[in-house]
Amino acid sequence: MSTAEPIADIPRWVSHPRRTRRASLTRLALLAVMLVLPWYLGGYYIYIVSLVLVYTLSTLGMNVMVGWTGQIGLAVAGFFGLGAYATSILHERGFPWIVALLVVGVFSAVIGFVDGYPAVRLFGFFLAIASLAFGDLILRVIIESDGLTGGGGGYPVQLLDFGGLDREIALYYLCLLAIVGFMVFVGRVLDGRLGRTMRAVNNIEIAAPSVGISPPKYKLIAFMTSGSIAAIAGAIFAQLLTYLNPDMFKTSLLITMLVMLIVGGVGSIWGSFAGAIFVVFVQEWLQAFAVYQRIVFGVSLMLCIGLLPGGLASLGDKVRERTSKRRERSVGAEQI
Amino acid sequence: MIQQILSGLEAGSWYSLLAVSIVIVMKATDVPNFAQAQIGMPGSYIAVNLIGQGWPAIPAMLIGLALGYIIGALIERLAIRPLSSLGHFPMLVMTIGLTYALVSFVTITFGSEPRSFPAPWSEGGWLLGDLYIPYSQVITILAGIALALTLTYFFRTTWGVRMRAISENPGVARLLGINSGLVSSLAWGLGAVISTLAMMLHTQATVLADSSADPLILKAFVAAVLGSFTSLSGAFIGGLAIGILENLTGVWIGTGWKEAAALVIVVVYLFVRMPSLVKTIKPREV
Repeated sequence: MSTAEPIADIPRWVSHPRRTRRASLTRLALLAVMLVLPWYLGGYYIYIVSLVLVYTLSTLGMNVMVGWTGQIGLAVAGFFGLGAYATSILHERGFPWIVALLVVGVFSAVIGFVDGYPAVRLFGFFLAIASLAFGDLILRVIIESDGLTGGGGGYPVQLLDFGGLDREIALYYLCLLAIVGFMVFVGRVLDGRLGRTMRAVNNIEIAAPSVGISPPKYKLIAFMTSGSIAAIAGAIFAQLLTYLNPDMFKTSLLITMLVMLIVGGVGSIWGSFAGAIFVVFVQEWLQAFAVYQRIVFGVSLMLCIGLLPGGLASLGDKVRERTSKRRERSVGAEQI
Repeated sequence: MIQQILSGLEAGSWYSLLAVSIVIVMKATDVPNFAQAQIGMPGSYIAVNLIGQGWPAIPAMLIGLALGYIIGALIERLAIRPLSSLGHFPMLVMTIGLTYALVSFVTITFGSEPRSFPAPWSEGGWLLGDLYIPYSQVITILAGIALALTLTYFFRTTWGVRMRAISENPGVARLLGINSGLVSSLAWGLGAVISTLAMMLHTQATVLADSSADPLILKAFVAAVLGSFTSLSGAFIGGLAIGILENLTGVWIGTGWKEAAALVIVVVYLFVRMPSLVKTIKPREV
């Protein structure tokens, strides 16, 4: 039955990455730089860049939900922890890591379905609170199943075997692969019909059913995708950190992810990247001063909401707008 | 069993007070305030400091509460009013940022080591058979009830009606000559005073530390959800119910699951109540 066929095309007022030739060239150039980066960076910096990539991935997972369908889902830290623990446990029990990752990716989508099926019918911040509680509940289960996860005592991760390769560099390429994979997914799916339909659900929820779109269905898809992506990011995060502790996935992680999302820019892929760079930079810069980290994060959240709602990603557009206005003004002056 | 219910009522009173202040702020300014518990921290710290300098407890606490009002009103004026046209999500994120800012402000000003909050009733209690009732429990529960009654009365006065009018329809309320700025300032100040009281009652039973507010806020939100963010009595009773259920979970299932009780309650409640909540949505303009 194809009554739920989405509308053919939604006009371009939905903010949409410009897919020009220059943009794709920029992407290719960036990819080339990322590919050769390990030759120029020391071990510590490779780790930092890998961390940025993992955070970017998890923020993108959140972005699919918040940016594309406009749902305030706050369970992402829970899914991140779920992915980290579940993949590591399966890997320890003898599953090849990549199989464990796929199993956990699917499993998280199922959990996302369980969370999302009732939740997508909630609205506004009722959804925020339900998903916040759901994420916390996942963490509770992780803490209480101490037979599997080591509980509050922590859990040493069984490391991935890369053969003879340098572990840090291999992990870096793994992160890069995951990001590139997501970008392809974005290009194929989130920029395509499904993504447009999701944005339509966000922008014109009330009108959507009249053109044959069922908002709950697409919101649910966003829930599952988002949970799955966050869990995959968590699995790679576990390999990077090599040691897990439930405290890592508490509300403070959620707030860090919110900082990446909001400071970077909701609904923008480059924004998630910029947000992750910002967060990792602040964390490393103020490594010994947790209090000052919190100040920077707290104040930057408040400032972004107040002054720069589009986040860092909107900076470029803002500057362009301003210069073009100035140009218009000067053209006008010449005519007089 | 009765012992557990009593400690449940004590913890429940903290949640209730915070939930009530969340609802007040929500009603008057339509902001889901995630920082409601943290707003009560500076006042509590000042009170502890004054007590440490030899002040009697009650005046020190009153000064702390007054400071709470000022902080609430200041936050409203500086951070909330300029952004009042934004929706729930930006404001939620905004107040999440505020929690970080407030907690680190408190840590930098007062240091991070935990302190005890000595109130005159912190020690001692009644022994009834094999039941031990600390004074602090009784005081906390009574304070909660007294405040709930006062607030119920307050919302029947002119100011209360104005506040409700603003939350109902700000535009019409302004046309009728209600000063919405003043009302929203009052709501934030009042909310902050109640949160400061809740934090004081919480910390005199436990300790005052930079993380004292964290475990309270989610449960307070859950209680506010049980009152649908509009009913003060619903939020109040919800808070008490969470406190009791939490303690009983600790006995029946295991202390580790105590923390999960409130989470399960809200997830189940929202998912069961979902259809009726959906019906109350007013369609927005497209």
